[in-house]
Amino acid sequence: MAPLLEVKNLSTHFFTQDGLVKAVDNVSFYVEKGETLGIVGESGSGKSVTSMSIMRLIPNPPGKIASGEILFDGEDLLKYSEDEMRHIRGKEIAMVFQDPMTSLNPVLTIGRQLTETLELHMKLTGKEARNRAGELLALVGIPSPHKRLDDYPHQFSGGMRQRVMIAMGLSCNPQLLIADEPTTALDVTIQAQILELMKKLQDELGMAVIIITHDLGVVARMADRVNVMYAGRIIEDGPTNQIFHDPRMPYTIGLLQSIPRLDEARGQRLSPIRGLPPDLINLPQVCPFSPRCDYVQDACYQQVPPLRPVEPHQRAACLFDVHAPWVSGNGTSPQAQTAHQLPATERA
Amino acid sequence: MISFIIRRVLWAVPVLFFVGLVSFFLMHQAPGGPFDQDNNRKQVDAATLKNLNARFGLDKPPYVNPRAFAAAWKAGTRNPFKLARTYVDSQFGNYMLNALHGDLGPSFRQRGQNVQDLLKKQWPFSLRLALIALTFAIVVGIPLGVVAALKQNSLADYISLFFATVGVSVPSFILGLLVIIIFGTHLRWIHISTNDWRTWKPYIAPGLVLGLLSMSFITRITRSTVLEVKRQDYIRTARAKGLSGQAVIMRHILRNALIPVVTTLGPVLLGLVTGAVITESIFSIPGIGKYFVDAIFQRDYSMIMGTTLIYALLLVVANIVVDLSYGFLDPRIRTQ
Repeated sequence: MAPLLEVKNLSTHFFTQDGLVKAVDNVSFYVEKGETLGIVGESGSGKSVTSMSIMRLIPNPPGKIASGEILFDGEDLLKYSEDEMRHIRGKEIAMVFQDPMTSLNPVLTIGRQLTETLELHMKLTGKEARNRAGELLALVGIPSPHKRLDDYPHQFSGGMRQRVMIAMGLSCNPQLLIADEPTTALDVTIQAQILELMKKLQDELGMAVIIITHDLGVVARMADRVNVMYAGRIIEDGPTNQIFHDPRMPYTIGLLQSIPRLDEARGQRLSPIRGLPPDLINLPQVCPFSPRCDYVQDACYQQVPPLRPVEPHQRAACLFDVHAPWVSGNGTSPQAQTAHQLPATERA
Repeated sequence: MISFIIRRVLWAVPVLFFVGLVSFFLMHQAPGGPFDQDNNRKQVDAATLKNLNARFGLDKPPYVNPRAFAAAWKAGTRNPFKLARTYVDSQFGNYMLNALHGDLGPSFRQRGQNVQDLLKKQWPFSLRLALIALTFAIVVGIPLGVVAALKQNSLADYISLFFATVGVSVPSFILGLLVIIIFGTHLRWIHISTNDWRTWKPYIAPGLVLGLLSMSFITRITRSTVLEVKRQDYIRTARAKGLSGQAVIMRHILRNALIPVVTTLGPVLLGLVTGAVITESIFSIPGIGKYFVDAIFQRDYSMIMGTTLIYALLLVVANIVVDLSYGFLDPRIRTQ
């Protein structure tokens, strides 16, 4: 059976004064019905632009989806007219945004903002829409929900507002919910509550979820599979367990190594990834991670490493067979293993 | 809310007092007096001038009257209210006390007429002009600003920028004269001299001239606030809901963008009022503004004071209304 969402060779470009920014560059992935896909990466890696491209909400100008296909239920969303697309947004694919403090309209009541979608997509009217809005607030755990419909966003706390955002996303029973950093702006205890809530609602309603985050903890907790993005490309993907256990791209290894651990010896230094992510304007045709990579070889400067299968279900965009230091097994160092792979001319 | 209104109304008292004081001071600093004649005409003789001064209270000291106070004290008056009354028995003091009772005094130059009667007769003309100008400024300014912001860097944006620049940089007395020359004398679309100011038609040209500055101001403010609101996260949320472009603009962008625009209506009104003085003079509309200018040239003290105080009162009230509407539009302010 075809996956619910299949993104093929998607490229989204921004035309800025300084030049062409390839914010998303030839990205392909899929989401099955009912599963949770995590997309991780640091700021500017193209995670949010990917999700905005799926919704076709890239501001144009300066942005433009340059090429690719976005197959949703087998239909290419990029071929839809703006009118047809509006029936997808909010109805079939809904979004929850990062900052609940700024993502709700400050001058409309919570009730109005909820009923708006219900009237639009579910064809509910006045009282029905209002009742349904109250039910939705109850569903996301807001106390005395029907009373709070007349409140304005500023009368809600951050966590409560994110619950409202989730209620808004769920209001038309979408098949796919895209949560773009849903917990980043919240404090830690609230984060846990919101993640619990999302997981519970996903189990009840059976929708697929794409969760976009830079928090690996969130991914480990929520996602069935994960895409790691770097400089506008997917550089590793696979089942969450497998990737956390045996990452095969040096960037993913670096990400996992830089997580502070509770069981670490006191005084142990964090091991961050050195350097900064590359400037996406005029990116040279080399491995984009090469300037920061601990395993870098000459060959890394010859081409952009393609995403290649490294394990069943797991792909990594690295020319070499690297393993994280914590993975014992064949025990070969990257240097030892890669020497014979280099073309003869390179060694000379 | 009630306490807010009361506080604002109480604030109007010192505002009006100081407006009166400053204009009284400036008025008396200007050379000449109300009974001077043109240099080439026969001047009022000394005896008549003395009578006139006594008739209009100009023989009293300008601000305070300590002499009258001392005389009353010597005469054995101890009632503090009566003593205070003798102390402020001056030109300014008497004027303000009478104004408090709604008596703006007799006009120095329009014989036998009170200032309040004159103003009562003239204000409908000014109101009509101001209404046309304000309507024009809002009805044209806001849509033009919205279109300019939504179609940034398009032809509509440049047209609005052109009109805004013209409106801000060309003073209304030049624009008014240009309109009279082009549309009045050459094209003959408008009558440059009408005696019938009781219909609406002759107000259109002066109304547009007066409203242009405010219109350009509103256009630019609307444009910049719409541009800012357009980028907000909640607009992205609204689009992600699948709302049509029109619903996003009307329900989400405009409601938010118009809040700052409404707050600028206070200054806009100020511009209209001060502009009306000039426009009414140029187009000879017999409104308060024209009388105000005439009164200044004739040193008609009570008329100057009366119109100034009325203008000040109007602006104070307008600002209170604007502030109240701000709270009405923005729920975040309403609950505080």
